[in-house]
Amino acid sequence: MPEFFSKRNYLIILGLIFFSMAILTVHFREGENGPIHRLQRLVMAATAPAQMAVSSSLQPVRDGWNYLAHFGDIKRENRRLKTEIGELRQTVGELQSLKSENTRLKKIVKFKDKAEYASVPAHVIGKPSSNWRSSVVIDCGLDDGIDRGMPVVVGGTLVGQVTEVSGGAAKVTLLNDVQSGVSVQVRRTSEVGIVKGQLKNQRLVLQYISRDSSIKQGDKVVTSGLGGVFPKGLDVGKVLKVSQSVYSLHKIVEIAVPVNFADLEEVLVVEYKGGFDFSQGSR
Amino acid sequence: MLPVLQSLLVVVTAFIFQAAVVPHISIMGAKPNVILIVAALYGIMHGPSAGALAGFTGGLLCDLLSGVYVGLGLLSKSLVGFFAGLVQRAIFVENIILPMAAIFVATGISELVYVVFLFLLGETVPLKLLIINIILPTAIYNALLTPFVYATLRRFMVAKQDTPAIRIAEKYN
Repeated sequence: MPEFFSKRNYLIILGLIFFSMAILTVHFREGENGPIHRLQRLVMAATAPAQMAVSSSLQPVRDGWNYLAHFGDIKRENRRLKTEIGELRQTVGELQSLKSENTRLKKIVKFKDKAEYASVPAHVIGKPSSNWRSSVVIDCGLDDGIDRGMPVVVGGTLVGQVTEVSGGAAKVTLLNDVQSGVSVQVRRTSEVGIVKGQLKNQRLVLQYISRDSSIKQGDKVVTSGLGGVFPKGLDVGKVLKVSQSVYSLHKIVEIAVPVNFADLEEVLVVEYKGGFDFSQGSR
Repeated sequence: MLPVLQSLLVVVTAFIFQAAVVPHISIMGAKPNVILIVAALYGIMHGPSAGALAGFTGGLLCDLLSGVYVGLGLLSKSLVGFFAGLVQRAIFVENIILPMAAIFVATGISELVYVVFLFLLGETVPLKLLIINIILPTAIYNALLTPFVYATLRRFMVAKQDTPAIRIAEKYN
């Protein structure tokens, strides 16, 4: 037991703590082109081929398993989708006539159209290797026009933001990461809050909604566009649960996300450059 | 091959396994931490300095890949390797149950060290949620994976477990 408390051991422990704090401080204070950030990009680029190789070799196994495990669901979904297609065809017809009417009316009032952004499709080649971070690596990088800060969507729903980028790969920090923070708006009430991740899959927390708010289950939550980090109006999720603590000035709102963060395979990177990192906004 | 070079190769291989394979073998969201297991086993087999060095190198690589806080994972993993080295006399790796139990405890401590520093840096995630969703499943998964990692490690290592008791036993054999 005395070995535990020897001077040498104390010195080693203190040295380790000091060294890790020094690296942490340098990483925080250095710019995007600092040595540690450069090393991070190098490690990401070096591991991307291994991640891609494992991911693509496991794809047939995953597909086969999903097919067997969800065979019943797939049949039911197929029936439901066929019915839905019929209904959607009818809706498309109605919308087309509304669109032409809308275009005509816009011309009359000289309404400026909301900017639309191009997007780059990408495959997920690397999933988070740690339990403490929620991020994925995609197979597109600077060479494909991807840049740091660009929003990433799946099926129209915001899932994250590009936070590191190298020549042929990029890291996307997902919304359920503890560092994420997105300014959102509740569509029905127009209230603005911050959506934060808590490492839960398909669940986020909406903060800073006043205790007097009329927010309720099912309300749609979209990006507010405030701060210019994300374009306005991107779908984030729906309110799942609203609760209230006696001592808090704000409601506790849980958001259900229609996307499974753990199973992302293809994503779209929206070529929108807000100039801010959403993890900086959360602190 | 030189032991240092060989150890570096083992840690880098463990890191590539952690980065490329581990995300695909998660059970109910829990991912094992192979680097931590390797660091602890190095500590148990070769003493505190080897354990700390293995944890340091592996932790740094993991932090560079996935960490926003580069330095935190490095600290928790090198401390685990170091403390595993300090208790090496009490743990004989050929009886695999003891290293499994040690790695269960080590994972819990390592993850708690990480949580403490996360809180100090202003990250607020409910502790209960972290214990149930992350710390406990990871500790169980790591403990279950220990025999396999140990069996693989043993193939690559030149030296076997080296403790004063073993040295005395070998002297009289």
